[in-house]
Amino acid sequence: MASDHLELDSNQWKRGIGSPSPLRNWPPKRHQLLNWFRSRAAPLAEAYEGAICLLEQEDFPGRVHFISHAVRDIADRLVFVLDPQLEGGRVQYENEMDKIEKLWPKLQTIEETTGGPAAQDAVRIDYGLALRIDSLVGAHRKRRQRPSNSELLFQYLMRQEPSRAEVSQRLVSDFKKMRDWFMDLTHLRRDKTPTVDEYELRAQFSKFEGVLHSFVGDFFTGTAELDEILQQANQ
Amino acid sequence: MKSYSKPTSEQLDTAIPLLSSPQHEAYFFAGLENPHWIVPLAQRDVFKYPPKAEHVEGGGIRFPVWSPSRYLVRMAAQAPTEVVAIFAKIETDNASIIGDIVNAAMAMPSDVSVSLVPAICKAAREGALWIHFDNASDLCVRLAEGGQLDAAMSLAEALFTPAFEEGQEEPTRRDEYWYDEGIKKVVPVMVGAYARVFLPELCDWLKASVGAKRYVDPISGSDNSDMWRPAIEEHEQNQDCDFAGVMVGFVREGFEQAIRSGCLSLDEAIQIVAGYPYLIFRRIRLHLIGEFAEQNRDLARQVMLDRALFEDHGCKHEHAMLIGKRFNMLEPDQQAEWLRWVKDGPTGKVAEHMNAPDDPDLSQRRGDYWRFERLHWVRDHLTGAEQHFYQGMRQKHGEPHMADLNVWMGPVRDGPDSPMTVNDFAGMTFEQAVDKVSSWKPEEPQFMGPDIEGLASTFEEYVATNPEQFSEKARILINRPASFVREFIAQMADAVKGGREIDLPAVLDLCHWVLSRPIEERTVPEQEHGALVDKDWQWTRDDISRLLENICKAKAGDVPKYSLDDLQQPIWRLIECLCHDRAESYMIRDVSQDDPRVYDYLNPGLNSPRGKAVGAALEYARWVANRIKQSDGKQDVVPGGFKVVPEVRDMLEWQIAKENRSFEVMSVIGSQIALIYWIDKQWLTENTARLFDLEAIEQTPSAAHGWAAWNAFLVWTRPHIEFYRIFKPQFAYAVQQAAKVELTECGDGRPMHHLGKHLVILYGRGQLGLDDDEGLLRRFLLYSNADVRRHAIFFVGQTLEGDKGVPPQVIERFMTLWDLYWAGPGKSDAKDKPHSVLFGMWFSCGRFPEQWALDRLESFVEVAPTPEPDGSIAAKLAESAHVDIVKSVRILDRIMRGDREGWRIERWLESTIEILRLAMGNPGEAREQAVALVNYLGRRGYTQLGQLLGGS
Repeated sequence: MASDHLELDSNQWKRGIGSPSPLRNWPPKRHQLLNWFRSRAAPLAEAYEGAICLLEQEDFPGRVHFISHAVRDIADRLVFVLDPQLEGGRVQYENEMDKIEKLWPKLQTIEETTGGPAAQDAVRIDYGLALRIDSLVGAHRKRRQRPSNSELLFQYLMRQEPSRAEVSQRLVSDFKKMRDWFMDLTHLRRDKTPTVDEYELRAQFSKFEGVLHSFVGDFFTGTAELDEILQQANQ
Repeated sequence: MKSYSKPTSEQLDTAIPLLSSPQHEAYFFAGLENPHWIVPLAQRDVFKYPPKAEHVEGGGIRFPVWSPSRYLVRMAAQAPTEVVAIFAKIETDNASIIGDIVNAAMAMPSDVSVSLVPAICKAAREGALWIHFDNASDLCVRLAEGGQLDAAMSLAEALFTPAFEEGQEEPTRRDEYWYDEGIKKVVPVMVGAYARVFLPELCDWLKASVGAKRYVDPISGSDNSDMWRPAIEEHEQNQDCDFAGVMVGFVREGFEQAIRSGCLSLDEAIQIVAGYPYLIFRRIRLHLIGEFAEQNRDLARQVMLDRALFEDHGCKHEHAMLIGKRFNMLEPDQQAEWLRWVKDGPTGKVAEHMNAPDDPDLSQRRGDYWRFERLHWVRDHLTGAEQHFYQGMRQKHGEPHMADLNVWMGPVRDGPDSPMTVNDFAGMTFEQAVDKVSSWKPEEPQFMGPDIEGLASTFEEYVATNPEQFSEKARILINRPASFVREFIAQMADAVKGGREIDLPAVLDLCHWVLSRPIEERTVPEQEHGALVDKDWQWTRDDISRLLENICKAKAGDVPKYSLDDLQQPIWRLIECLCHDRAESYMIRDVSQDDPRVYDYLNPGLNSPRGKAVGAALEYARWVANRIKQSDGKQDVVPGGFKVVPEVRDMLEWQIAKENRSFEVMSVIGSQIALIYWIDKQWLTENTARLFDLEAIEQTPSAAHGWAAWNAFLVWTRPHIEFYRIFKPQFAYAVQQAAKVELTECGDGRPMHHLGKHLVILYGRGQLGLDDDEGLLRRFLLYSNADVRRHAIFFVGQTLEGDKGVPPQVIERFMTLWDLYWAGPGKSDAKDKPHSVLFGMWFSCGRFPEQWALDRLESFVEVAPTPEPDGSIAAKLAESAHVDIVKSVRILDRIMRGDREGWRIERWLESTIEILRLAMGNPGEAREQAVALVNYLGRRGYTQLGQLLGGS
């Protein structure tokens, strides 16, 4: 663990984003999670690490926006990094429409070439064009039928679990809510930037970390935290 | 009661994400004792998504435990309303959670738990209660006792209403044991609290059970209940395997309890029963009238004097019980009338059935027996002529078992019956006894009853009482039926084996007579059920082979008991004759489907007439050889070899000649190769090619008899370099074939396994190198059938495990052998059968250098993380861990994570703790790995291991 601190410190200095965060004060959970990202989901590790750093630097300009972006992206992309066999499933609507648009005759042209069909009549279109439309509709349908990224993520995590239990829908629902909270803050707006309560930001970030750590962190680190809660609850 | 505070929103926000993994969720809810958390957790949907029942791959169903519901069960007594509010909304097919709901209902006041009854009823109707059926029955009782009668009734209906599939007499979705146990508890309580509602319900269940039977007629009421429930009361003839029959018992108990306790009068009970159509209900009515006749004497008298009931075949038992118990309630003239019915004899169809027009005597006897049975019902009340008649009949016929029953189940027959016992021969001479058994004939063919087979067994017992004395009279059995001769000779064989002194010349004379008879001669007439009666002399001849073998084997101290002088010639004459009996085994086996290369034919061989005789012949050879052997200073030798027993050599050469050979006899010869080698090595060397003609497999597999001899040699002879030298070409050919054979899972292939044993033992002794004979052993290890080579490797470990004094050079050889094997097919062998015992015993035997063994075990578990035998491996790993703790923890980690079922973890726990404790005391990699493993095991439920982490 000690070596992780030093490494993190030096990386932090090298990147030079503001002043260094007090990494030595990170809870063990955060260290374990970052280590896990580095070993199992390396492409997302820096985004997570950056989000932590920004969380600690309250005066960093655009901080909420960047943190939210990082969390949203991690929430959406994590399962695909963990399970490379899984297809991304994103439909490139604009690219596909661009292709269709090139082949699509204006309705007026059809009317002219076919002698002016009535509104209720069928319209003949080119077979190649029909194929493209069919492909887009098929991809869209498939995307709609597939479980959400959150569900896929927990399906993956549960598969790695010793219990191999089914995914709890409560978990998926809570994770989606958390992800949506960050999603709302991801994109820049035309009007004023929304103000975010610092406590709420940290609570949501903590929820994000807590959920992931419960699956991938050290078991007894989690039970130590739960012991504290239980001690208070059972008093 | 302890008071708790409500959780804050902050506490909940912190806690809930931490409960994401099932293990943390379980940990938290196992420790939470505060009931005030129920509602806030429910508001955050923590109780909203119970896990479903899971269908397991390969069949079966799993009901995951849900820790939140376990918490609710614990809180049920403290916060019943809150718990009910949650459980009442849950819809689940998970029996574990349904069990929690039942348990919670049990823990709370009945007036609150009624709200959970609909959910439990639904689960009961869907058959989703499984092992919680018993608890649900308890809940039903608790509700009734708590005054929640409607809820109890609903639950009882849901639990016990039988549902039948078309054509099935047993209800579906019912665990017989728990159903019976449950209804036993519920009936008394429900009757006590709610008799007028519950008893009709109970009758409905019985009606449904009877209606599901195949031979019932709801219109006439016929149900054959006198067959499936011979008596309404508890009775030894009632069968507890018939559902409706068992249900009758509950109905009877219910009514009896209700009337006895005053909840119902007899008349009210009869009124309820009268509403049901089947015979069984009429019988229950009669039973109740008989039991509670004091409540309505007129009715009891009326029923007893109902002539139609008296003649009703189906109500026979209940009428008999009623009249027997209540005869005194009748006035004298009424009693006389009833006795007159008996005296008049049967009427109607019964009378027709009993009448034998051609045999008036038989008709009379049948009629008398009918009267005897009826008088038996009132036997305690008889006087005068009736009593005289009854006692006379009883003396003649004994107890009339069927007097009040239409069906009677007797004890199961155990083996054939004998018309005599050994005691019947007491005081007789042996000759008289033989005459008696020989002259006995069964009266008429019958499936049950005394037969010759049973009598022969009795005769055998008789001979066993004094074989020495009876052996002198052996000649008396000449010209007697084969069954008795056989039993006599069998007893003589046993007596010789037991070291008893019998008159051998007399017994051998009898044997000579037997062998002089045509084998196919039948000595008793054929009988319909006489499958086990000797149909010819073959079985007797087989016992003669056994007798001769026992004579040749008999020892007095270290030397043969019998001298050759007077016995050698007569014994050989008998053996020679028997050695030409049929070779075919008694064991039925379709040899056309066999691959002779992988089958050990010795069992069929020892169960064939000729195989037994050849076995006796080879014991004869040993007997003679032992008598004439001499010492050459190093060992005993047989001077002249087969020249001194040419008769055995000639017999062997006849048996291995192409036209005479059989799998059975060749296997018997093969199993005695060591003996043949001792008597005459030269003969063996010269005849090896004929004896072990293995290449015949390439032309005609069904005639490759040489494999029977070869396989029996491999299986039944200890490995020795001398055999290897003589049979080198056969070993080479067998190794070549070991790469081609296919082994089935059913235990075939033992000979091929033994081929491996021979080779690795010779290798271990240093008598066969890896590269000797064109790398024979190397080829065997690399290319033979995977199962064959796996077994050879397993055998090394097994041998070393039990052998403490293994020299270091042997260990070094085996280390080389393992490395060769592992670099070759070892990995794929381990991967294909990860549970096979390959390196496991090599490791656990502790004969190899510890670091070497740890290195190999690590490589092994990388491929197959489930090494066997796991218990010994765990103990040895704990013992060796100090040598390389990093590696030991890595091995442990691999095995623990490879154990999906968790059985190994449980068994290894003690060793695991020992290794992890050692690792935790070592800074660096060992400790880091140990921490990771402790955390992993914590997730598997071994939370006590958290203590090992200390302050880390």
